Amino acid sequence: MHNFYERYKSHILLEEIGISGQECIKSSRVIIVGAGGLGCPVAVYLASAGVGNIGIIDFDNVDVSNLQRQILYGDKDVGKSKVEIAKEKIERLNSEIKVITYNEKLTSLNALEVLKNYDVVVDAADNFQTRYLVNDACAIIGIPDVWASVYRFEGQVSVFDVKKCACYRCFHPVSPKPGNVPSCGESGIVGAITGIIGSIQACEVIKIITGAGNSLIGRLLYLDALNMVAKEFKIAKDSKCVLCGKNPSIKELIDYDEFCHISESSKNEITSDELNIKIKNNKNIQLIDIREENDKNDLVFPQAATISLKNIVFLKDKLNKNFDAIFVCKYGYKSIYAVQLLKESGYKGKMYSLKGGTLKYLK
Amino acid sequence: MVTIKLNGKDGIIGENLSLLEILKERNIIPETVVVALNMKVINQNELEKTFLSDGDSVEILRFVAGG
Repeated sequence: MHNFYERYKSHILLEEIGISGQECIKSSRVIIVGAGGLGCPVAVYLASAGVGNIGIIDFDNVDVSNLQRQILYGDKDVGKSKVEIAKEKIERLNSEIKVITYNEKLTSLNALEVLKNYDVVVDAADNFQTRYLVNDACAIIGIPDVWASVYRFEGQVSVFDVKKCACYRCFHPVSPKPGNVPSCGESGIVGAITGIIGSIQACEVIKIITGAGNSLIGRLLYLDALNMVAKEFKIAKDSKCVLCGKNPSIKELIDYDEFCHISESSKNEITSDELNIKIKNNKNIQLIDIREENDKNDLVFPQAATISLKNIVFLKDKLNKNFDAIFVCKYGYKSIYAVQLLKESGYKGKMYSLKGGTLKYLK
Repeated sequence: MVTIKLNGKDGIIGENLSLLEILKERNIIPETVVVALNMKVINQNELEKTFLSDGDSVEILRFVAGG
């Protein structure tokens, strides 16, 4: 074990942190939701900084396409559990900290139970359902949510804390429909952006723990790295906020799939095994591949018709209503939306979305 | 005519336009963006009631969940 003062000398030298601040960091408990592009740099900096108890929750395994930006993982980790590798790597950075992993999805059922053990939550998730869930759970427990999201060359960071100012719902009360907003996997992301933005999150965590400086509470920091311009916007608390306003209607965790327009009834999902049975039995099916061009490195279904999501309604008059239409995309989200869009356009034939997308199908 | 700055660029828009109308003119689905007026984020529910005047600065950012 290294000498505490030697190890953290550079923190202790800072009058805003000092010995007492470093003691606070040592005894703090921080959980990172999502061990992806943002979660990796957050975990690295929190571990090095000496955050005594770090939780990491993620249910994913390392995919080869993660390696471009998710800096805790390397060639040999592909296929392995992200949280297990993350724990192994950050414990190598600092053996004096305790790392607790949760190899599961954060849901309405487990969120309060898991997050209540921590002082600060870092939202490094990759979907709206989890982000609204993290926000609501943090508000209910009464702990700050250090939030960020990234897209292409851009990043956005803020800190939501209902005790002091706005929450994520004050910032953005309405979730977009899936498919209207692209994910990192679909739109692309510069790896270094996740590093910059994740490092800002880690810095905010250290500030919150030690009370140093002014946190991003009530402010949105926006970075446009393509032009390398940073801007700051004020976020006001919304007195009509359904979660933290004067007359809140949300007092406990809700169904976030439903809130984010992914309703069970319209999902119409089919599993990889079910699809294989249909293909094997030569069932009359029409496969439609709606993956973006850059995701089509594998020709998973050579027999599939291809179309992009934005043109999906044109299929209304082209599909055969007597055959099942099965939509496939990379992750199984856009395909759900394709089914919804065609349903809304009035198409009457049977439609399914391949659950987990081609990514899961190929495993 | 009203002169505004939209994402840092000078622009001319019609009289009495709300932020929601500015989005609709550009075929932008409101819930897919974050709209700021004079460096303050405007709540989605207020876009319809927020009207623009000369010299206003509007920023339209994508609302994304990527991580």
